[in-house]
Amino acid sequence: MSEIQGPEPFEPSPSEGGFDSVPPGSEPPLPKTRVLPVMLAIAAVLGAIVVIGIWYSRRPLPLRVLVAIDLDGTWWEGSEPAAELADKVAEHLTKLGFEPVRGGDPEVASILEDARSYPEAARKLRAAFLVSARLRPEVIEHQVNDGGSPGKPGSAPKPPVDKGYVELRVEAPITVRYLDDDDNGQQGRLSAWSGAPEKKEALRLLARSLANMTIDEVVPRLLAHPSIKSVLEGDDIKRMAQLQPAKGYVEYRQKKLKEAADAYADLARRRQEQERGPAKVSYHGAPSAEDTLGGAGPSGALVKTADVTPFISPGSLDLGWITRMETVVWRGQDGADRPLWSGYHVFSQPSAAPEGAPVLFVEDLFGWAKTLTVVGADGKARRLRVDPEHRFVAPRVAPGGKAAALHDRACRDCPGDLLVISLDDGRALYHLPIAGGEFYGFAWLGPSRLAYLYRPAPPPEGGDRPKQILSSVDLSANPPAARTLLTVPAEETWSSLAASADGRLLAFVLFGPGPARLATVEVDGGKVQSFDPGGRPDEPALSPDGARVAFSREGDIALLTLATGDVRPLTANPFLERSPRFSPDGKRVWFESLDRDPNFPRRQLSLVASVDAP
Amino acid sequence: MSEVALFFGLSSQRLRGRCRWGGGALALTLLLPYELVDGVPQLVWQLAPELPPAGVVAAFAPTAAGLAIIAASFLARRPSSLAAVVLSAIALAAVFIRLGADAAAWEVLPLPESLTDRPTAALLALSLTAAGACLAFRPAARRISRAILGAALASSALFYAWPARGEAPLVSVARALGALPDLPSWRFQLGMILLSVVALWPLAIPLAGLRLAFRPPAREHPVIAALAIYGLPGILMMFAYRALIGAQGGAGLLASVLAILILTGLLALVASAVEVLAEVSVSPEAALEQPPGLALRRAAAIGTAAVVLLGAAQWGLARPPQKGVAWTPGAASPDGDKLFGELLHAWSEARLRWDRRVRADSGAASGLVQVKGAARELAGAARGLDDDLGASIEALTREAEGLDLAGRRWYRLIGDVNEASRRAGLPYYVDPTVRMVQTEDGLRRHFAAHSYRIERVRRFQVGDTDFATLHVRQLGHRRDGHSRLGFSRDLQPFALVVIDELEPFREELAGLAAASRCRPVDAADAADAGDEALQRCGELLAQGATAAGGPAELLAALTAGTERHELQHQIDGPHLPLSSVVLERLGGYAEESQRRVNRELSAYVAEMTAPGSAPRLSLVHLARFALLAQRGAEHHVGVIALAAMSGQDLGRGGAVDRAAAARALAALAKESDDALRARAAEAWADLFGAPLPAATPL
Repeated sequence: MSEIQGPEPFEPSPSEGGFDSVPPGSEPPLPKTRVLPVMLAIAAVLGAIVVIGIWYSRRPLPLRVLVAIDLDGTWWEGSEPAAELADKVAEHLTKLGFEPVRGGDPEVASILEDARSYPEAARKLRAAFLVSARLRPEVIEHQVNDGGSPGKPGSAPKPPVDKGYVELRVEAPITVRYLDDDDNGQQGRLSAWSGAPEKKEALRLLARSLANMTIDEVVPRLLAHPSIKSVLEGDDIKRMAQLQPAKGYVEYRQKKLKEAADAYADLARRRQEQERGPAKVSYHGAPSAEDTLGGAGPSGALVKTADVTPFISPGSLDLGWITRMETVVWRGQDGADRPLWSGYHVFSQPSAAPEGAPVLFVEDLFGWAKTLTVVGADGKARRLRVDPEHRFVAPRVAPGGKAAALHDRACRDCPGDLLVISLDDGRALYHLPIAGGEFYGFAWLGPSRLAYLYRPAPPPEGGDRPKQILSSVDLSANPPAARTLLTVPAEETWSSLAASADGRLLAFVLFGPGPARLATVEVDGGKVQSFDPGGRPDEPALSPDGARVAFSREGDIALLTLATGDVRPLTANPFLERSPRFSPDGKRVWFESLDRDPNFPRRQLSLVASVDAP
Repeated sequence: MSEVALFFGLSSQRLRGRCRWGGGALALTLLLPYELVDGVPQLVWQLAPELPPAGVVAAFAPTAAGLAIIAASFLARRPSSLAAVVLSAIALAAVFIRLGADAAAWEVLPLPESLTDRPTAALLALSLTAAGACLAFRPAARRISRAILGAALASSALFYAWPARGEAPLVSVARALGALPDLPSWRFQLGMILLSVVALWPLAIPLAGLRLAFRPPAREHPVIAALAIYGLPGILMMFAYRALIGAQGGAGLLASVLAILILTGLLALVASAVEVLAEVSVSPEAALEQPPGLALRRAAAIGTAAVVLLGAAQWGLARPPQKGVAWTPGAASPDGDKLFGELLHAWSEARLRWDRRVRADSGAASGLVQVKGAARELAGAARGLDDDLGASIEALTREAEGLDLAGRRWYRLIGDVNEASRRAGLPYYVDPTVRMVQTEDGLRRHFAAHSYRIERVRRFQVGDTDFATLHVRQLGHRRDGHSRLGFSRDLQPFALVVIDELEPFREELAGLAAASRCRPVDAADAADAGDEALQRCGELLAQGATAAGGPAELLAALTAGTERHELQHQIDGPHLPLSSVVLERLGGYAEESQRRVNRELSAYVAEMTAPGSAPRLSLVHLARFALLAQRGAEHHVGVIALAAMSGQDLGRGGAVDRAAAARALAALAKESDDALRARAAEAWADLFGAPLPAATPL
């Protein structure tokens, strides 16, 4: 056994012998350890660790944002437009350094489905911010109705020939809320529209246009919140760096938008400074407006607006614009608007009866169809025709408001026929095909009498160009009777007809030997009187009393007194002025003043202005 | 205390200690990466959903065994009971792993080699040597120590002589040592010697231990016992250390160190348990002075019963999938074509897009909505065809909304759709695909579903087992590289023959046959004119096409060959024995490559035997593999199959002997189709050591 190199023989271990089994008196017993306080202390420490751990794992993440926008439902309910909007917003927020809650994650969807409220869901998802909006788009379904064949006066409007077009409009608040704040957050506003043959597509387009707007509304508010400011000014370098794109975007946005606003303010100031005319010009609109003057009436000027809002794209950081809905309004001299209609787009100029109602204009339904829309004295809009093929151009409402004349082109590049329709039901009252000839203008001589200038087509066998014919058509006759008032001398060409309020006198621009002139003709006598106003006159407008003619001349507005032949400039400035219209009392001339948009070179500014016409 | 009790106390104490650290090491198997993908460890719990139940049991078995051993070290008072627990737990884990590996091989993901390819006999030899060496010191146990040392040597001999993977390990080592002079430098030679030492360690140690059978050691724990247990891990640790020094650390190194630790624990546990049990078996109960408890026999009986019962349960879990199917497809309908050809693909693609996006960024809400919308449309259309089909598709789409869907579950869900389609007599089959990719964010599974219209179902009997093939045409437009003449999955009960892939293949072959060429003419292969092997190949192709007859007959022949090919895959399953010819040619290749070549070899040779097939065209197929490709599984298959068919040596590795290939093709061209079929059957038997199973159509 001496060879064994194993361990020493076993000693009785404490567990085998046990301290308690030591006979009393052999050794003093060891003092009892106070286990309970130690255990309690350990338990307290462990409990604290657990509590801190739970708190840490559930605390909101400062840059996490829950985007909960209801657009025809929410994405977790299966709304495709809401999903597209949420994705686009999340994409932008991510690029800017925020941490949007992951859309499309089934776990996130489950939490959102189960939560009783968005804030509850946001807390469960550890979001510090909640962006919410409830967008319920107004659905406008456009039906096609071509109002009957233009070539068959009196024919009844046809039933719809296509499945129609869906327009969506939405305007609603959007809320940015910091969940630890007591208030309900800050509100912005979303306003957008879209149109498509199908509602689904229209919703998709709406979601796209809302995405940029949402970022525009949300990010500046997020950055302005104290918790985000503290991140940007704090000592967490990683988060601070993460948020630099957002900070850069907001600063850049503010700078560029201020520059844009300053540019418009400069333009307004320039307009005042550079006016050299004898009378003070009043501008009736914002310097950034793109207004179109349709006429003048008792309520002021009939104006079509096409406003935009400057906008910085969060993706490209380019200065762009958000296109607002166009409107047709009566605008008073004080600039106050009385809205008649709003929608996607109005072609050319609206027209109103001299009495102020009804108002007629051509709507463009998202490029899909054109309409003839009339707004009556009651302010209600009616579509007389909705046509995907025909183009309606330059409508003019007759005195009394029962009929309107316009050019009707059967296709985009087709020549325009002369068409007179009833404003009661859109029926064609008179239709004169262009038949290879040319129209040079028309003007209402009374509620049911229209004058027009027409040059027939050259004879097929060749020869001299046919002479222009000034004709009138009496719509009260059945069938309407057209008669020739006079034949224009062969060496002259007349255009741009304008009639006096009593329908006895017509003003026009006369092109003939020598420079262009202004001229008048007595409807019944056929007496022609011409005037040389100097420069190149255009767009004559007779005063209600038929004594004066306002016209545009090489970018300015001037006034001709027929009795004396005196010509007086009303404006003199570097801006392009056009489309003069007398106010019903004849004391004022309204017109458009055009200039280049200082912020968007592709856009032309157009302000409705007026000046006294002594 | 008696001498016997003293020694037994030492053994018992050692066993108990080893149970704690060795059991702990075994339990750490849970942390042993299942595999490393791009250096990222894939751990067993991450991949468990991909395993069949038997595979899951197997994957967790070592950990469970380790924990059981640790628990027993505290609970079992009698060392003999503890030893019984140790051996039972390890044996049970080994049984679980073996059966689980067999089961997993049929499915999506096999068990990793690190778990399944442990050389049991070699490890047993080392453990027995250690146990025998310790026992040899004790006069009372010397007799049994001799028996244990003899068993160690026998176990070692078994390991080295048994051609578990087609070749006896001793032959492999001898071949490696024989190649020593041919190695390029002394560094390679030294490396090979070191590897040989590792490989021969389980032989050297039992041989050295045998000496103690005649001359007892001078120490209670002799050096040879320590070498048996710690020697191999020590040598392996030197490799790990070298990797560490060479800055080759990372997850791979940690996995290696962990594997070495587990190996050490396993060797130590078995050695100690055997030692204790041997002492108990030869010593009187009273002399051992054990605490009261179960007698050895009862403990052993309980352990054995546990192994048998639980092993039987695992055997039940590990049954291979059923083969063969009774599918009577009705006529196709526009609704069915739309459902399987459009809606299913739309949903599958929407899901794939969403799956990819939702993991990459925060804006995938649209994707989820589209998936849900497509799922609603799909399920609605399916309900219109058949209620059960609708239910199975609803289950598929519902579960597929989860991001953590397992590949195995995907197969099961699609399998349920197919089963519903079969029960409803619909002529539609959906093929599931799962692609696993490692990304920066972890392992990702990409799921796809490709649908087919069934034109014909053929059933076969092979031995006592039914098999089936489906002749199908593709539906839908996106194939994702899924276009093949036919395919077979071990998991599924039938193979597929894709008719609309065979048709263009027929056109291609007919075009080449008209020109007597084996590949299209272009500027790059002007040298073909001087290549006799390719000329013979072209002639063989022309012969084969002519012999087949018209286009319809040619298509029928190609279909018959493809069907037999895929059917052979079904018959072989994942456990086809490795052909020694494959092992010889691909000795240095990964096991997966060897297995793939082995299985394709079996199928390509078998397809030539099918009645109605065109064996010449199959030979052309193989010749093109052999002559036109320079590497890849098909190249090896082509070379081995041509060599086996012709008896010519086409070269062992490296470039193909083209003159020999030309001779082989010329000789085979002279044979009739029936003779070629017979020759293919013989070749198969030569390659795989058993007659080719006959498939009888039902």
